[in-house]
Amino acid sequence: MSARNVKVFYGEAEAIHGVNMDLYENEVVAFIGPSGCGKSTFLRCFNRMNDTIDIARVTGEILLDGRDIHDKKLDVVQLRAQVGMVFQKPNPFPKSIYENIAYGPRLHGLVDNKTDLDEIVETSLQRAGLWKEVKDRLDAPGTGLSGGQQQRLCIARAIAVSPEVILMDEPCSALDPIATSIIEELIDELKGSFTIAIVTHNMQQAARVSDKTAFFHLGDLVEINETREIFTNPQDSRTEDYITGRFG
Amino acid sequence: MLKNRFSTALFMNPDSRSSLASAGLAGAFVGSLMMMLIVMFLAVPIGVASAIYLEEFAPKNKLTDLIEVNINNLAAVPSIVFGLLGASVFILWFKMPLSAPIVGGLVLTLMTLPTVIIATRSTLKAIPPSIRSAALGIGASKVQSVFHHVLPLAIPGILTGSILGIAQALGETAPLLLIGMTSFVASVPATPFDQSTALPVQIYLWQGNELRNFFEARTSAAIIVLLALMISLNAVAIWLRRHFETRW
Amino acid sequence: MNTRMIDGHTSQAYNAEMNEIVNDVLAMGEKVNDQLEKALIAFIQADQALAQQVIEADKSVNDMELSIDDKCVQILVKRQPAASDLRAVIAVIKTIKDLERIGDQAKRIARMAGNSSAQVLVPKAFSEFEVMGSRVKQMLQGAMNAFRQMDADAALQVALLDKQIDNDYEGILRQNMTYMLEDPRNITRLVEMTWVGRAIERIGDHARNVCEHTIYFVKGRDVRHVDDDQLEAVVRNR
Repeated sequence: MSARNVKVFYGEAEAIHGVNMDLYENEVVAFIGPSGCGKSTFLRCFNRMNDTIDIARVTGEILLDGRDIHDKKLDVVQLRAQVGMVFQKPNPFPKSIYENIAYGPRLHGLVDNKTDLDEIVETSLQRAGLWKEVKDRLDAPGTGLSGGQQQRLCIARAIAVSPEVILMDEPCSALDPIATSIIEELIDELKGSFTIAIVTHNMQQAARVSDKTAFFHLGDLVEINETREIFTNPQDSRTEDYITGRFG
Repeated sequence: MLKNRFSTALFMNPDSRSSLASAGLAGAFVGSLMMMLIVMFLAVPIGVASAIYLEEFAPKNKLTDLIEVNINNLAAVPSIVFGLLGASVFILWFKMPLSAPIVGGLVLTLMTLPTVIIATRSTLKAIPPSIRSAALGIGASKVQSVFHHVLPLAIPGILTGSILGIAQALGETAPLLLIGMTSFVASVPATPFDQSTALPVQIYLWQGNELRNFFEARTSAAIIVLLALMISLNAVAIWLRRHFETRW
Repeated sequence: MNTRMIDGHTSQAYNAEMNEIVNDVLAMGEKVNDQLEKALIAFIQADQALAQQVIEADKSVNDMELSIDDKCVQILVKRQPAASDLRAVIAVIKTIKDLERIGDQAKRIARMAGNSSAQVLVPKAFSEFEVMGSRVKQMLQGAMNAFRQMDADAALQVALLDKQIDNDYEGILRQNMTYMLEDPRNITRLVEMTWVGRAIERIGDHARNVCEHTIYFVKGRDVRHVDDDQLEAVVRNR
């Protein structure tokens, strides 16, 4: 997936000033930067979640498999099946665990019988590392799980529709360290099958889970490079100052 | 011989002037019931639908702001004004029959609408935005996210608001006086277009009757019936809220 | 001292901790330099008392290494430093190891001083040691200065001096072998003197390592085990 000269406006104000970026298969890209630098806004461009904000306007090109996702003929519903999203706060639907996963595949017509659906639910939960914990209580409400389990349920829900890309917007910010490390491990496993972009405030987390790190500041993509380079030898002094705790 | 027993006649007989001893509430009861049904089938769907539209789909602009302010003001308009409106619009203009439940029902519908809209909107507002993003993120359209996820969560709140609105309408007297429901009706209405009274109006009539001695006990009985109805409606509302309440 | 690269954190305590570590390293450098100087004098002048002093003081060098090491571990735990801060801590950890080794080598030189007067002397050889010794002192001082200034160019200049010391050592080795052939009675003493030459040469290597750590800290490129041309290329680029 690639972004070309992407700008985002909130009303008249330009929040993102023409960003170019490529997301590659089987690679995790972490977006870091101080609050309000536009990293989340930029992430939300990839599945057009900014469409849901009335005053937000996105210009530029974002290509998925060679097609601009802003193409009028492209169905945003289809796009969001291809580009899944996991949010900051775990947000399972207040329904059963089974229904949480089954909703997406049903919505997109991926299955036509119960057996197939059961299978998707099981494999999604397995890939999200949640199957063992919940297989005996698929009818229990998803909201009854712990925070970390809820977030894994949300990841399972996202992968149930077999996306190509998964966007994660600070997926661990509401979780304790153990739950966080479980999610991080999961991200590492998932990158074998998906392209992953993750926004995080936790720089150690970016250093741990990502292959590439992009540093945003005031709506600009300041620097994107191999994570190991960013965290040992960043090229831009703003990146350096941010990751060494000199501002932000 | 006097016997102290439950007076089924009170509920079976309509009002009467010829045999005062057999005067009952049947006419008023049926009239009130008809009006309640009219309110339920008009105010609730129209109110809920407008609230959903205003809250979820309508663009935020000057016009919708104006509508919102007006709805809030309408909820505070004295009920007697609705009576005047009903008298002039439904009776003088549309030539509807005087003192018929249909007119009463329509007037009460107008009066209840703002209440239902406001209650529904505040319920919708209280649904966490994370649920909407979750649905949109998985690829649901705006309409799907509202009808699959937001609305089911809002139903208890909407029901409660609607029932309270209906209960308020049931106890309303003033607007009914202005559309001629004060007339003496000695029959049970068969259709909403027949002449009728309503429970609160019946109380008002009996209370003001020159043969007060005859009606004192009846008046009390009618008040108790009205209060019992109100209490049971409120109880149903509370039960519904408790029963369908979902946690997230 | 150039503190731009370690100051400016939002956390003042972090600045203080980093400065403390850097100052400790500089103090350790002073101490080691002092040890080297005394060891060379003790060896050349066969001053047993001074030699003893050097041998005893080596413990304090070791203690300094342990203390700085601990401070580095604490900062890693508390601050999880990144980028230049991380490189600073890593460079410090490696630098103090090299400084401690220099201290060990100084001790070794001092030990040799013990026997000097009793043996047949080859006075000409001492001038060689004096030259090589002052060169290595200069190198160590230069390395510590480059670290103090956090100056990759200065570090490069110092690192390049190591070649000279290697040549000096080869010269001493060749000369001593000639003396040994001339008069086999001198062999024991000459082997000892070769060891001293070897120790000085090792100190040169450690000083070069210190320079390489400084370059790593400043430039973010690991320049260990590269030849001089590559080293120069890394420092000159950017």
